[in-house]
Amino acid sequence: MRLLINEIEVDAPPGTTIKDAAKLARIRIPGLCDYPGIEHYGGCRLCLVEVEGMRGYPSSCTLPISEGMKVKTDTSALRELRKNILELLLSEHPCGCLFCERAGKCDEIREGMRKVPETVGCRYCPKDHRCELQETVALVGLEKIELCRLGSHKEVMRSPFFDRDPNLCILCGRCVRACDERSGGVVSFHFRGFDAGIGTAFEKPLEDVGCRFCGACVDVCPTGALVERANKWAGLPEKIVETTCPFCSCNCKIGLEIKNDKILRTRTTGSKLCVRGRFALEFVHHQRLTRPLIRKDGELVEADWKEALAFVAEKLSGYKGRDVAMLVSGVLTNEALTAAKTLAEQAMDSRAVAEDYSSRYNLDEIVKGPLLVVGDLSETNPATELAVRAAKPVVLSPIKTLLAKNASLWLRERPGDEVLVLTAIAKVAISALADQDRKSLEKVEGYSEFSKSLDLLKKDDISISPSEIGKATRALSRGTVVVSPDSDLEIKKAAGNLALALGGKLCLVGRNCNSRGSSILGLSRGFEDTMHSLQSGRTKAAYIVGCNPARASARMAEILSNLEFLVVQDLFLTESARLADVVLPAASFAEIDGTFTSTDGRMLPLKAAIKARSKSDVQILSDLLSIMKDGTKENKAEAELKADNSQSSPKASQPEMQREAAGESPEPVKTRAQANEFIILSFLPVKLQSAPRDSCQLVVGPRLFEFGSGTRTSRVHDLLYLNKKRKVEINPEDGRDLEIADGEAITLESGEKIINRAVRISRRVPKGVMHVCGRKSEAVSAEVKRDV
Amino acid sequence: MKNKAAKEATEDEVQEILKGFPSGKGATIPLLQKVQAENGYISAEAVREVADFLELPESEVYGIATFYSEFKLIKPGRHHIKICMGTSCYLGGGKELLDHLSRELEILPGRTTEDGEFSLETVACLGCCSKSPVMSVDGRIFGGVSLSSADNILAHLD
Ligand code: SF4
Ligand code: SF4
Ligand code: SF4
Ligand code: FES
Ligand code: FES
Repeated sequence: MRLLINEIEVDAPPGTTIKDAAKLARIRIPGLCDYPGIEHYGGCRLCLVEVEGMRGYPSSCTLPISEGMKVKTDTSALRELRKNILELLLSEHPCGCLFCERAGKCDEIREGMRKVPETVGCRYCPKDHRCELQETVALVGLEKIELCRLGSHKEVMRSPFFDRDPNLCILCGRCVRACDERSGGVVSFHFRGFDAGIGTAFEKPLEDVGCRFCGACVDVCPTGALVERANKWAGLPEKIVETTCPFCSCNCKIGLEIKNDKILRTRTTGSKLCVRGRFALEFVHHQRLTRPLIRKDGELVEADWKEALAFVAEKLSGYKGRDVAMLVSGVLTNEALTAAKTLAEQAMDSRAVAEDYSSRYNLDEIVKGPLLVVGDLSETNPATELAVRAAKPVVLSPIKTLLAKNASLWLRERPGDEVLVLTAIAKVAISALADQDRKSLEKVEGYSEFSKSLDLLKKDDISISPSEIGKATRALSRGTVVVSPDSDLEIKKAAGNLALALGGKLCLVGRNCNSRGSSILGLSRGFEDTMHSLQSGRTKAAYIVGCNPARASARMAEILSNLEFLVVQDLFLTESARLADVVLPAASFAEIDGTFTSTDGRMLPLKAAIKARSKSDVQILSDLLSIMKDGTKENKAEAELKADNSQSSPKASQPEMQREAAGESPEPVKTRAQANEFIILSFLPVKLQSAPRDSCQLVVGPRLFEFGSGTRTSRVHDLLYLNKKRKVEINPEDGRDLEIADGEAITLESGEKIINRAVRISRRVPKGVMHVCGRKSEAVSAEVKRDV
Repeated sequence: MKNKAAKEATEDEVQEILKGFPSGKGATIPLLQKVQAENGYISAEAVREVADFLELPESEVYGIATFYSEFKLIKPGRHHIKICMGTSCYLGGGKELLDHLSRELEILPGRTTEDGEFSLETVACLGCCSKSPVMSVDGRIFGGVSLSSADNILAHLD
């Protein structure tokens, strides 16, 4: 579609707004409420234009272009109007500094001025020099203002991670619209006239009304009304380094704002970050280890690198094969994983293993087809959840999550029934197959036992009605079954069977930023074996990099403390490191160059943004390798390491997940799914057990605010606070039956576990079900004991 | 415990009112009106129930409730006092009267005393400007109210 803007011809697709079309022609129209990627609003009226043949001054951010349109963006009438509008807007904003004739000359006394707890002008504002209001004043050419409010009268609200200063708010509504998309509207416009503002229901704290602290509102806010609290007054960064988020397998791109060799803040650079990527990178600066520690007379004491590495090399050379375990994880770069693998194989005759698996998938592709989602991705992989949510999937979840609310079909099973429901859908799908398709399915390994087990399914045992199951089956033909990383192994197996029956794909979402890389290197293979050897006491020594088993489970802590020799390589003195004989400090993700592998196989770059606080994992591991191999072999080892780096081809499948190997599998078995990237090898038997019907069910689910074992997230102050405030969710009806009110503390007993928590009354959970956040997902029976 | 029972009661009442309304954003205002007509005000629980029922964010329902001055979000007291702030009453000492009662009852206009006895509110004009300053207590109009006569009126309510 062609149109003329200020006599310049512009070509833009239909549906584009005039404002966006002008941007294509590099014509700037001022505007404070429009923002790329969020709904158009047309509230500030600064983007007025003149359109030939149209009366008045329409706002260009809401008016779509039409063929042959003639637009003027910069007439004297428009300039005058904009000045008036902006002046009005600023009359409620502390804008003294904007028009101060000595602006910029008050630097000498600035430090003193910052001690004032109120923002009475730009020089007192954390957004100074990065504020869109300042830009707009320059663009509109406003030079003075008749009325200007100076002091503030509304209280600045402190939330985890950011401060909200209502006195600086210009009511552009960007935050409201941004939040709508992310978390379903935590904040809205409230009151009217002079009292008008942005807030939560009854001004409750954000953490009590479902805020996920994604920071989307902070990102879009044009003024200092919403700003990060960390390094609030540090001003502009010296540089911005683009790198990859070191938490989950969504692999969001992030921009690190760096000043004085410190991370000030994270920028989004286009991705939809969650709280972890946006606010939780301060762990990098939290009590890092910088020197190796060696246990002497029972105490960990500092040592130099030479001594520490020599000691480790000497001790480790006494263990071979099953005597020694190398535990790694998908938080490490491909380079570090490869180095660990090489060290284990060449110097220890052993293997490196990780409890980390991710399918190969391209999210943009799979969301185009039918989707079934199992597990709460919004807590484990938020950016993936957002993409999936937009695709309106079929959702299997007992909890009314945002995903369930946006589902095309929501199957609300009784917790613990997941395997049954997945298998029931598979059963219907198979019975609906054409003869030819069924024949090819019959050739798949394990089919006969699987089909026999289908006879055991009784519809009365399943909490989803046959008609819903039928609907789901029809909706899902050749679709993808997406399973969250925290889901039980049985659920993953049942999901694989279902994918096979549907002629679709299985998508096991990975937990860590480099779960895919770890899968390609075959590190998930043999994890179970290694764990058995550790548990049985067969294994005498271990080398742990990038994971913290002692924090994840008490049993593991006990096992580690019984080892003869333990090396832990990490950023901090972790729970596992405290049990070690040698602790080797490593550099963080922000201090190294390297790569993660994305779920669709791309190499994602990590860029060093600050000076390394210690040696990198790769360096430590290859130094050890050279020491452990004698001089002549040294060069060969390095050559091998390089070779390994380039080939990295995984073979076959891991034992516990044998059905699903990456596309590179050497022996593809013929199945209907073969054309896809997922080669599903066989049907696997699953336990068809329905959840107990009588007792109260407790659903333990993963939590956004705690990642993995929590080693890094527990070093972020505000995440710790949010984790402390977690609650048990209970349905209002149960609340009434048990006489429990919102906020009251209760005690839950489930087996040996006793949980003390405050209650949140919520319809997110069905009657008879309670929900708490924990490390491992599970559904168990529980009993409520009131605190008396 | 009594508090809890009261809470439950309002929840049940609201649930009762909610029946018979179609879901959807358009129903918010009539629904809030109905809730207010039945309960006299819109409680935090009511906002939550309405939001749940209409599948809207709680903050949005609260936003609508605070946008229209007809909605009350605070439970009115057993005795409801209105002070006229129309031009005539304002000039005739209405502001002093308001400040006085506000101090005496230890509440701001728009609030209810902790014991639930009194609530205080301002109105634009009660239509009896000649008798300024005017105040109304539980619907009864008092004209030419001085600070001490106001105290007296409140003291003799049952
Ligand atoms: S941080 Fe995210 S969830 Fe919280 S209010 Fe802002 S946009 Fe909404
Ligand atoms: S807080 Fe910021 S984004 Fe939200 S309305 Fe105010 S100025 Fe706009
Ligand atoms: S969604 Fe995942 S990758 Fe993105 S910011 Fe959050 S933790 Fe990082
Ligand atoms: S940017 Fe167009 S009205 Fe605000
Ligand atoms: S610049 Fe305005 S007070 Fe200094």
